[in-house]
Amino acid sequence: MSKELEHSAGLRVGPHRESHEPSLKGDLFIQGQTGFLEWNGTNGIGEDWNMDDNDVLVAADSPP
Amino acid sequence: MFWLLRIRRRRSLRMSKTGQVSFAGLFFSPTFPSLGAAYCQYGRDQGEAPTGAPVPPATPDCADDGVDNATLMGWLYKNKFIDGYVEVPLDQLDWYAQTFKGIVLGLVIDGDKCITDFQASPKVPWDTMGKDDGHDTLGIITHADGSGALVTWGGVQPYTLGFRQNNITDAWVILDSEDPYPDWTALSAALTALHGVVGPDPYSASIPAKESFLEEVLDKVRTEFHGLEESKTFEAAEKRAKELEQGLHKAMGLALSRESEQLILKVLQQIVKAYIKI
Repeated sequence: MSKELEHSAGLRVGPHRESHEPSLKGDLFIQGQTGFLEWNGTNGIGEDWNMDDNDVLVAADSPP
Repeated sequence: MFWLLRIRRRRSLRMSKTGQVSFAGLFFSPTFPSLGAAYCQYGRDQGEAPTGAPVPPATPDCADDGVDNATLMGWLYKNKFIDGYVEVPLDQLDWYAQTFKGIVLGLVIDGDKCITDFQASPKVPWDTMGKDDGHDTLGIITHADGSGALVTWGGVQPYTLGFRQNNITDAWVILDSEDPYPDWTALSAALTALHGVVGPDPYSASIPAKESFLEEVLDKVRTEFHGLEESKTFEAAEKRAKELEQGLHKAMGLALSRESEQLILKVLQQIVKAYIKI
């Protein structure tokens, strides 16, 4: 991970820390379904609140 | 810090059902003064050394060394942020994401590649990549072809089927006591076996007392919203909610435009006088 890139962007990642808890596997308590599904959980916030593209980063010295 | 956005999911759902983002502060009574403060406390509870806050403002005593999801979920449960959680079988990821309105995704990634793709406009979907770094995100979109999108760094980042198959390592959902799908008897027994009987929130005692009448009024408003559930008819509840909504919108609009506290207080007092008996 390039620290220069990390710092210039203000974005961070960390070390990988995978862990599992076998006794809390979902299929022990919930009857789920396999397969790919079409779903969008954003509730259309970007469209409804005119915030599309609000996540495009802008350089600090860009004109307003 | 995505996970704190989900810890009061029931309230978030109410917010999303009404479509009023301004309800967020009214429905949420945080134990911690900010999302960052809770995240920092998690780090300290894991014995991590202070590294500074992940986001401004500067917080020198913040411990921010990332998370592993099993430990994080246990911490959230033990501190009463959440009612329960389970680890999701990866072949059922989409169903869980849809059913529980979002899914926590643990990733192995190439950090440089991810940031470059994220910063591109339009964003480049994350595809199969190296596994030198780790990241934790919230899955928010799934597609029938196996691709999807997740929330990270304040944006929605798409990913490919290849990324899903190679770079998503673990998935978890947060459960509310009202969720009908879990076998709660079995799950509660498992959670107790793992974490013991959960006592009072250890941090609640640190919440400062109400500092102003404004906060007191807001508490009454929150209580009133809870009371809506007990309305005798749906129509009655809907009518009352709409009236409250209009008044609160006005108050929140004033707050967002940084009007004086006195003016906001006046509007809230009008709401209280009209709709709430105190």
